[in-house]
Amino acid sequence: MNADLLLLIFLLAPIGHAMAIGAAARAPALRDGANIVIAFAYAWLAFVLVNWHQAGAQGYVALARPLPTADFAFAPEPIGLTAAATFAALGALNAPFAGGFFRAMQDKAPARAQVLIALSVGLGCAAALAANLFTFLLCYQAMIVASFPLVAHYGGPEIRRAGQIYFGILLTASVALLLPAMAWTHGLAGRLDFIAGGLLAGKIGPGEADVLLALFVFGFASAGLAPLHLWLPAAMRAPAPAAGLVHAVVVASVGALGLIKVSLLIFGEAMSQASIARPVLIVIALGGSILASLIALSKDELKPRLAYATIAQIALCSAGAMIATPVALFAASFQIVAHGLGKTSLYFTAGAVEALTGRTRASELTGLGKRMPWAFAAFALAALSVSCVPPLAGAWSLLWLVAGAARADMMWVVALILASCVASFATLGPLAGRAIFGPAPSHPFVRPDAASVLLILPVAIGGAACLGLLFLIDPLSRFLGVRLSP
Amino acid sequence: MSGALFDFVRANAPILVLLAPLVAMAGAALSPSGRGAWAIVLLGAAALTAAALAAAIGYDQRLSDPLGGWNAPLGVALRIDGLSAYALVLIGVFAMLGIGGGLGALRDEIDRERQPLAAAATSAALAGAVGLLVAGDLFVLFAFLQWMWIALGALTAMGAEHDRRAGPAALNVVIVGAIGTGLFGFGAALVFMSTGAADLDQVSGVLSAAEDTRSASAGLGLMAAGLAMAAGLAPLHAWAVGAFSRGPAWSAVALGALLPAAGAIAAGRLVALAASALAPGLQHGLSLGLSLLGAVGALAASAQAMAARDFRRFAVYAGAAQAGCVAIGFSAASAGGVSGALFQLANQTVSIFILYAAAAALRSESGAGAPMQVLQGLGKRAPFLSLAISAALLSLIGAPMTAGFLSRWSLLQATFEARIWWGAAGIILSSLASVIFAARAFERMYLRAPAPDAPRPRTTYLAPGLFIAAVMIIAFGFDGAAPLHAADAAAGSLNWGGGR
Repeated sequence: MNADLLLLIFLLAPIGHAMAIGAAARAPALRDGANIVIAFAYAWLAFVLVNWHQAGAQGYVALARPLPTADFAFAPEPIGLTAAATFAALGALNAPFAGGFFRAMQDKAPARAQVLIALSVGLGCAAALAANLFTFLLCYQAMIVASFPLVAHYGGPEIRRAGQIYFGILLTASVALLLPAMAWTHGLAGRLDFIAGGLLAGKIGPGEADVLLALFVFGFASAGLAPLHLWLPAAMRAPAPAAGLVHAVVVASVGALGLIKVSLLIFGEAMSQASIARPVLIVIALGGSILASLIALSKDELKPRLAYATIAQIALCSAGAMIATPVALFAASFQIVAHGLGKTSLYFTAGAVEALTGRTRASELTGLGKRMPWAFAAFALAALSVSCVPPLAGAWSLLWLVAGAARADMMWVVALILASCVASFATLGPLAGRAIFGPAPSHPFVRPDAASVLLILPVAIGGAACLGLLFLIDPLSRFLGVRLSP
Repeated sequence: MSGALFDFVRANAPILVLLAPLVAMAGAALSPSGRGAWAIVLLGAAALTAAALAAAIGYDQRLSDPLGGWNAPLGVALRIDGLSAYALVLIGVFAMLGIGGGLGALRDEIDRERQPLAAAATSAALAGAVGLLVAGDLFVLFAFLQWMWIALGALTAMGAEHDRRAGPAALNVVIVGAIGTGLFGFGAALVFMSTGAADLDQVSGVLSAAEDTRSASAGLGLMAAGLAMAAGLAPLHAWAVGAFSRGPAWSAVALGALLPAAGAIAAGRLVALAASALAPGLQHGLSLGLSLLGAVGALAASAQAMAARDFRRFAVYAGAAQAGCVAIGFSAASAGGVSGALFQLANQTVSIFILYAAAAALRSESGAGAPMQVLQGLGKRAPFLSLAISAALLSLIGAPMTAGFLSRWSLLQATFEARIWWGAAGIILSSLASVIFAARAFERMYLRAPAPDAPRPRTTYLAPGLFIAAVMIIAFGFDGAAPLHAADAAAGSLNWGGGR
């Protein structure tokens, strides 16, 4: 088998995944079994792609030529491949959790949700492997469409309204801002390929670069920059396995990845031309991050609190993309991995608590760690990691981001990054502490039977992985360093 | 033998494309049965398509046919250039699919004794549209514009016994049509007075050499306004609302997508004439007016589509929104802009055809039209029909991997190059509005349960047309080189270099 074929199989696998779930929709054991097996196989394929890429086998697949100057094509590169492998691995972890969650909640349409989760994760991976801006945009929009019904999963007027906000913000931004940005880029460069050094290098002047960069940054609304961040709190109406993995991790990270690719591969050296837009956008990203943490503190409902924490933490990726030094871009890429793993674990815990105790508020978690020790140990590790507390994985993104800003002589940015991390810790750290050290509640469980292993095992593995990622930092740095040297 | 026949058809294509629907009209009117008339009209559309294809295949020169051997300025000139060859093939193919698929609607909605006349009126309106495409002088254009609207008014009125709203709608068509032809007529008279020529080639030549072209440009503006009405550009689309949402479903499926396309092509020819012959200031004024009208029209029609409660009315408004984008492309007054507009027009024709055909398939027994509720649960009731509608809606939005994306992309590129920023904004905003109205349709089709008394879709005759149109949308979305090349060739055949 060659790398092209392997890449093609990886790209098409989510369709087979969705069909398998759909075919077994009425047999819960078969459905969940197929979902878990295929999700793990998909993650395995992703890691094979990474290994082959490291060995020099770089695949290329062109499926169509919808524009005369741009193929619908995929070509893995280290940053995108790292993101895709992260999404696929988290998808594998999410598959058993989703099975346990939907069973515990006695969900009416679990197969539909699982199909949409598989497709959304697959489209997120496809976007990460896009060979050009056109393909990225197409997969990004398709991912928005596929993930939208998950927000409206439970039905009802309020939830439908949340779905409209989600769909409206993300798709409007992509059509009204991203599409013109892409057309403008095409007008300047004559094509849309991701190119090392930047497609627009030497082809764009200062004023144009400022406006075009702003169009891209706000066009990728899923990166959560204010004022286009409201889609994520709205998405929290989705069931926990979707709200966590799909919306807070994959959709948000694909937006951040888009910004990294635009900064590195579309602008490249031309980022220096956007001398007005860059600092303004950094302030919006990091100022918004601090503000989002403060809003998160005011939220008692757990999922909205996690949503605002996500807005705060994914903003570090946007800031890294705007600082645009190799170290900062490396930090932003690494943050996608660290944040994805940590945030998925947090949502797993929130989902497990909701399914087993019916509790959905942060104030109701006090002492619950004594009843659910595995879940809350994982919650604490993940909370510390996403809050960038050393030596957990998130701290390394912070370290490199600070180093990147310092090397770019942006000391004020360093101050903002540190303030953002303190605020981020305040939203989740004390919560984890109260859950573990507070007085244990009596009779918290609403389910008569014990917690399903499908629910708790992924939570525990997620927490352990936040710790384990520490040992993968070196190989990951070397892999990402193919393009970016920290 | 076949080569000689091909050469004969090709050489005489300008008159043959017109004769085909006119002879079919006469044959249908004399036919004793509705089905016989339908077959004759379908045959006429097929003959039109064959002659158009003969003219278009290997297009290398302009085909001209001065009737009776009288050349301009005395004679009546019929011409086929790259633009009209492109449009004739498009219109011929969709006339065949529409007329072929409309038999059920013709039999259900029009009284038996009037069915031959309805078929004849359809062929007459088709001849009017063809006349707009092949006319080589101002007065022939005027005559066919008038002819098209009168035939459509008569056809609309024939639905009155089944749905009483068709009577006032027919009157509406005739009145609005009279206003449109009136505007065009005044404009043509102004152009004739200031140039002394009626033949479009001669008008172009005289204007290029003239020092003062102000009155001629006013005339061209009035003519363009009349043709913009024919193109169904909002807010000048009242006739299309009446004819295609209140008239018989037969007229919508057979003609609804074609007549506005013919009007738009004729308007595009005038834009090219203005670009090549007028002084730059006047040319920019005309271009500005057209782009603003297009942007406002696209947004206004999109807003109407969002609020539409009737499915056929929804299709009319969606078509008008697309026509606005076409006008924006024409306003760029360049080969790139016209190419994008032509591709957009083809895409509009295909998508709107699907919507009208779907509305015809979902028509109610009582003749009360097709309210939007007919879409409820269609994903389960008629999955293939709902897929065809989905393809059309996605293409209208300009979603990637549909033909609509490439056409909107071409338009955006042209507006960026011509620095028509409000035009680009109009195209993008109309895409966003399309997302909203399409999302509502998707929600009805896929997320709502079917109504218990929902009519069974009647797709027997419509299925081939729906299938071909949907496949075209997806196939050209994956590889749009062929339609893009055809649109480029059509736009390139116009005279862009002789201007000032």
